[in-house]
Amino acid sequence: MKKALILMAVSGFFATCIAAILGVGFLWYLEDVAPEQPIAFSHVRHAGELALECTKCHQYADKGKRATVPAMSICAECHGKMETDNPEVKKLQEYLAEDRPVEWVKVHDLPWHVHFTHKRHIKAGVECRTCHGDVEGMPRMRRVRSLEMGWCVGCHRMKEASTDCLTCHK
Amino acid sequence: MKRRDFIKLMSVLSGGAVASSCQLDKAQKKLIPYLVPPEDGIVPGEPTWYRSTCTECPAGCGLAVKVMDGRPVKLEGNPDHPDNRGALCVRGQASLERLYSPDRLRHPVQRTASAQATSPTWDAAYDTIRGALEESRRAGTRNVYLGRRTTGTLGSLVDDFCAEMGIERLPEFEAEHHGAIRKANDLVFGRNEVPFYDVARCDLLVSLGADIMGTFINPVRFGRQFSEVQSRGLKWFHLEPHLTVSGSRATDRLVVKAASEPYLLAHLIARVKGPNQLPDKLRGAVPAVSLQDAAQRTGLPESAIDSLVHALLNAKSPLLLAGEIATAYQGGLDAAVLTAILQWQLGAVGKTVDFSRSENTARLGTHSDLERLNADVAQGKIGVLMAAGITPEGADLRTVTPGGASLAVALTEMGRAEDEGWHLELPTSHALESWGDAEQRRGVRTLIQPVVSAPLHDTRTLGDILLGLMGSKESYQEYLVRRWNLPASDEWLARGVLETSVKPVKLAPIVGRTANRLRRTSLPEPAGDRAVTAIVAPSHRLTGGSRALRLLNEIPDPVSSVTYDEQLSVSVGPDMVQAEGLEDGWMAFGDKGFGTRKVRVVAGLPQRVVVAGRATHLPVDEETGELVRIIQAIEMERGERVPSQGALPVVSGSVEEARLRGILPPLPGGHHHKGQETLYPEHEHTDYRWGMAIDLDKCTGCSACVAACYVENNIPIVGPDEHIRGREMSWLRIQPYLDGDNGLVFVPMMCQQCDHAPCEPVCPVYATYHNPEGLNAQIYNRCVGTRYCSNNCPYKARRFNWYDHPKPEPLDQMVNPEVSQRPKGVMEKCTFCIQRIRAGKDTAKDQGRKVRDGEIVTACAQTCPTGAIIFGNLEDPNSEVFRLAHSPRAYRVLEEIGTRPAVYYLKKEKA
Repeated sequence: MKKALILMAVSGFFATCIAAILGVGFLWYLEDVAPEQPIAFSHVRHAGELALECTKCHQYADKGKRATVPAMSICAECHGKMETDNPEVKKLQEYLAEDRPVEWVKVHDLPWHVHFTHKRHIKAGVECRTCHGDVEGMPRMRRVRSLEMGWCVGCHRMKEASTDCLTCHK
Repeated sequence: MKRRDFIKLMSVLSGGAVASSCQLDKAQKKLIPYLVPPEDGIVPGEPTWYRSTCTECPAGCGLAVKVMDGRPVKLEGNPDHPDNRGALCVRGQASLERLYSPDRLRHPVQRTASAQATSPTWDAAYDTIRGALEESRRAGTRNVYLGRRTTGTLGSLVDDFCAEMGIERLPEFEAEHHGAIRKANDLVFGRNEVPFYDVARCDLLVSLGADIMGTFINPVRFGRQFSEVQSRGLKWFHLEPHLTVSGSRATDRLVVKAASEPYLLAHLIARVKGPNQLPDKLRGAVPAVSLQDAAQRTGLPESAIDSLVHALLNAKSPLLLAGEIATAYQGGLDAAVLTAILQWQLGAVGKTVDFSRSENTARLGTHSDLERLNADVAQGKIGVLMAAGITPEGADLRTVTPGGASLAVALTEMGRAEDEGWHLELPTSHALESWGDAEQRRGVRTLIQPVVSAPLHDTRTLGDILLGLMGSKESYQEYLVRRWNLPASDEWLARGVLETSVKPVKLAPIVGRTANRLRRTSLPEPAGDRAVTAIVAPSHRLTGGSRALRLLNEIPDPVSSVTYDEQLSVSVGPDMVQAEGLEDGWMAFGDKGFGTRKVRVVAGLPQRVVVAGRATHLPVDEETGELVRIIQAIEMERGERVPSQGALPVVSGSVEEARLRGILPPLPGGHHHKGQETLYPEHEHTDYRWGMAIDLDKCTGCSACVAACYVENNIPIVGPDEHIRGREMSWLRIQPYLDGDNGLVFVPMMCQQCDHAPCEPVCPVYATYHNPEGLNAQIYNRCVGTRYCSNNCPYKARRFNWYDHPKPEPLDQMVNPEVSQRPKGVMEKCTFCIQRIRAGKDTAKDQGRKVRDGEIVTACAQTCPTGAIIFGNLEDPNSEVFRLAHSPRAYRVLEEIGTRPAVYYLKKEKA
């Protein structure tokens, strides 16, 4: 009886540990693909309900390598007077009042050796959602693609784009 | 271990693992938005270009500055500038480092003898200066302002400043002030000026001593002009007592004894019947030198002098010039005066020697002026001494010693050592942080504009400091705009250069005083045949404060291959090895200010001549104010042999490689087709097969390409210790080869992008492979660092990262974001600036076409002053590179081993 209790206690301890590790692992994963942002910006509201064009805010997506997050002045264009009761908009206005940029946490990041250009992909007719997912349904921005080389090359093969290493490796 | 212990241990460990993993602060990368989007036309992450002016040397070439994300990443020449037309020299390319240098002074510093150095506010510093001026005025001492060569609006502001503050403006100081040329032109033509030597308009070039491809006035302009006329069959005699890049490039290099030029010039004046007849009084005053005498004094064969005379008599538009080593000795003025007379006699004055486009040297002084200032300071005659831009090594060999002034103020970019004795150091902004203009030679005004939104440190521009001291509310930018008063300022900002018309100048010799001077001439007595002559030659890398730039120290001198030790070593010819036993790896001791030096044997150096970058206490020639750079009858003795490698001058390449350099076998004789046999299948190239053609007839070895490659490709600087081990990282190097009597041939060597590359099959991880456009690609993140590829490369073009080379702040900001920074353990090499190819193809694709010939230019080809490097598509039969690759002069290095390189070299044509 005593032996059984000890066995239960020991196995119970390890089971809790494993569960905890799995739980923390899941949190890590969430934090990686959908990190918490300083302002709970909602693509559901902007891209979904208001149906703003992606390039309204990410204005360099079709012009250069980087799509870029919108400059603070672009946020201010609307939020000078719109939805000013919303607590998240209030946070934004604090930033604006202090002339301070919002430090967004990167969701889509590429390693140091990758050359990637948004412009080329958009001009080739690749839709934003192909890589970024259904953004208009994301209350918190989430990465839906691995952004790993195999995934890139898969698409390049399918569309008969260049698979020469030097195309993307800098 | 018992089972219980195991379980205990595991429970502790797993509990710990859970506890420690509860932290969620993984390294998160941030996305920081702009507050306001950049102005129209600027796309974040894409380059923007701004025009400005290079301030690294007084030549003042036009700049096009590539700016990405608010930081300048690369300097290129301004294609609209009439002098450099897009090219830059090695110093210009490297000068970007000055902006980011960790050695820059970041705030005002005040030093007193009693207390620690303090950092006063700008206002407090201004008050200190004003107070000291007041005090000095009461004490009756002189207040002086010493600057570097200053032209344009800043020049007149300095005048206003000095007038208002009661400060005496001293003659400006530059290390290379061409005192002899200016003095001679003053004497002969009444023009104290360095004229515009128009190589582009001459059909015969005779240069005495002046290293026009390396150091003289504006080597970039000379290089470009030389390249223009070379194709028309330019004959170029270069006379020098040592070995320079100019001599190596000349069609006829004549080795003369040091300081013997006046004999030759006097002889030429007697023999050359030019378009202009010398007045009898002047002709009579020129010392009579017979052919035998001239030959004996100069050491030239009589036939060589005859052929020179013959060439001068037959030339339609000759250009003859003398400078630097040919005028830097007691009596150097004779050489300069005789040159001026000969120039007039040949009809060159007003044509190839153009005084209407002279250098703006009206306020330029000489070493004599500096000597006088130093004497006055030492005697306590100077109250406030303000020195702007004078670097510790500004004189190369000499500088201001501020010791005796009551307040010595250094207006300086770089921080100064405490023992230099400056009381107050005010940090000046770099030219890339400043507004300004310059007019380095008449007829060409250039713009200086800031390319960063705010200075990197708490610095102010020189103009702002002067205005601030005057108590003006105006900023220097406002002052400039008010003065410029330009109608079309948009064009001024966009082009960065404004050419104004100049009135032609007609000149004739002033007979009386020239003749008087010549009658007083006693031609110098060259030393005997057995005596050793030491030549302190100007360096084309490390002159005038450029020593502060790491990159310039890292790039080897093209002639001697010495990198870091240029100032501490002495180059000797092979004859000295036999006669004096001076060998690489030994120290030598020389008298007359030479001291102990590391010996560097340089094949091709004339007999009985040693060359050094520097000596202490060289005398100043009173007549011209030039440093006496030729020391006759020096005693050079072999000192200790130091067993460690530190005894060798630091040279590029391994020690063994360095020993062999210069005595490698001559280049292959012409185009041949060996090495076409192959067992491998042929590569199929798509639209493009990138290739390069390098014209060895045009390459001057100036190393501008090397510096451009370093900056463009984020190549790390390894420092002298790694250099001694042969671990420098340069992707492109200049290899000198002996070329008979005619000096050296320089072979730029980079990855040859072989079709059958020996490096590719030995890579175990496919990090290197042949891409469809013929490039030998290197995938850095795939490389595991076996170094098999490097061992198998017959061109030694691959470099291995033995270490990470972290850069001190803020130098770490000097990064080209389009090129990765390779970590430790990775092999790297040239890929024909793949980032530029990518960008070029991107533009072409936007416009729905193929890349045009000449549209993509690698960094090395872009900066080459002579246009020796041509890059392009070998698949396109209409391309320039295709044409050159099929020239009868074309060959490929080690063609016979069957590597099939994509780099074609065009053999130097024999004169």
